[in-house]
Amino acid sequence: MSWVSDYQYTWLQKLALNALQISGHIPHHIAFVMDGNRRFARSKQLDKIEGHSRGFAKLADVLRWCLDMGIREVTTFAFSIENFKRSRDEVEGLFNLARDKFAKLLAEIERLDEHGIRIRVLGNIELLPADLQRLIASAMLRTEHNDKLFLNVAFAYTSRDEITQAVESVLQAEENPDGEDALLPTDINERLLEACLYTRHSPPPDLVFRTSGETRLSDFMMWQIKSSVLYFTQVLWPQITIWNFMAGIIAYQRDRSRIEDFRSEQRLHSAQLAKSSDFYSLRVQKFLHKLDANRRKLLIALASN
Amino acid sequence: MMMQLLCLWIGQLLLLLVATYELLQLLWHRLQAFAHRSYDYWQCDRRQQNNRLLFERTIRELEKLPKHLVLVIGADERYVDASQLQRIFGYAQLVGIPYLSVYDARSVKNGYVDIGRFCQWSKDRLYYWPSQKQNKQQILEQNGNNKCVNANGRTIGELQVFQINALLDGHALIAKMCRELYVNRGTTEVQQLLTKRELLSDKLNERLNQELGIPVPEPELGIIFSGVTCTFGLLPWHARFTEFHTHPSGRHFDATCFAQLLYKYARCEQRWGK
Repeated sequence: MSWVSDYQYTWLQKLALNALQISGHIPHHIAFVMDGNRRFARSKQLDKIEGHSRGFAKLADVLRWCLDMGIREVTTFAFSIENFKRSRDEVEGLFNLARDKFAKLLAEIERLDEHGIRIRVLGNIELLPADLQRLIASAMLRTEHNDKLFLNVAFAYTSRDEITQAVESVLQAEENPDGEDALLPTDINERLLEACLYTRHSPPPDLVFRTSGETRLSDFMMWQIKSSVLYFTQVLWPQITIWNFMAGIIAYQRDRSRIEDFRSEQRLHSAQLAKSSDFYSLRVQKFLHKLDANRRKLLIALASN
Repeated sequence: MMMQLLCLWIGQLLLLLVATYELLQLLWHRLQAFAHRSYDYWQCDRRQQNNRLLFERTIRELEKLPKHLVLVIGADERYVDASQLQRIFGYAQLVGIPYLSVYDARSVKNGYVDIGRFCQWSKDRLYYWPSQKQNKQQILEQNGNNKCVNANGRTIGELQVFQINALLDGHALIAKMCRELYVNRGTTEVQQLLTKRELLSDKLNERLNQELGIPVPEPELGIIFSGVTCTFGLLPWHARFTEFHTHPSGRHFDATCFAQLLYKYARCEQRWGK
């Protein structure tokens, strides 16, 4: 399968993977900032697009490692809205690569069902070319019933856009049929906005893994990562090995206990907010249900374009 | 079964080794911190002169310096106190960084530092450091005249320090802006904002900046004082391109560490998506 590779482990890798899995806590959700494809291409005197293509091949390996490690949710930062500033050739090359990969994904959909993989694309997909929108929407709709591994691909994404989209959803809340406001001003707080993000059905990432030695987050999941462990490594994304991956998992296992109290406080704060703002009231839940229905309607419209 | 037991044993041994290494490292860092503090205590004047020379060289060699530095103090941090913060404020002032923010994720009982205790409060989140009283004393101590210069050769001004509230200034502030817009959603202004997402994004940006009141709201460099690299919820709207560096909990933070971070910051290339 092109999205999840058939990686062949050595006995030592298998032993290390099992040891980590059995003895420590495995993150539920990992987010990857796949950085360094172009620097890798430059260092090997390859074309930029070839660098991105190798990067995608590496993602297939990483997804295999995650699947075997027992990680339930993976989010990858594939294309930022800021990346539209790159040269036209490069942007078009990236779109062609995405077209190719999503078309292959649709062709081997049975294997995704077999593994229970659900694909979700996070981002403002309406900024993308119409044919790519169609492929993405089809892939999301076609895998929406799978629930073993969630693969979120952040494409045409920035955190600012995501937060603005959440605010926009609240401001566009339609009146109920009985003429009442869909939301009361007191319903609006961080808990409600969180429920309007693209990641509304995902837990926040436990670990954010960024390659290529950069130590910034580049506007990726800024809202969600308040209690995530950040792991920065020097290796370029196409050169990442299973040992780099496991080093990230060990760092998470080491740091998790230190941050646990903070995470509990955050969970408690979130629960208090939900209680104080009637988050579980019929009114708010109706609004969120409508939000889901509208998003699905949009996907159906894009898929049938 | 045997294989599983072996894996469990290897995994636990690995975690034990990591934990032992970390404990020994912490002890070593505390010992070093004690030695440094003792040296500082006896060699106060010489240390200040050395710092000045170090920063003079740093500024000569660096092509860029951050305008806005943010100090993130993690919820698990036990060693950052008011005196350490004042030392860092002093380094920032010597180097010529105009704006510095402090984001302390700790609770009062866990060591939260209220910078109002040693800074001059101006308005809202803004404080000046040193306070007028400290400033006069510092000038008299350093050269006996009314002019004090930083490592850049410019007259030292007061450092503008902002205390960011972990509960009110991050996610909650965005929610507050959303509530404000929601109340006014019937107005033509808000309806106009809903025609294009960029307009709404710009409006949110403008209102958040107004509310925070920091002249350069996006910090370029962030130093995380914690055993874990984590943002602890620091300004989700503004910290998007901040370069984060973690200073391990318990390790002494001195002028050399500060200069090294400035070198790291100057070396990194911001591509802004290109």
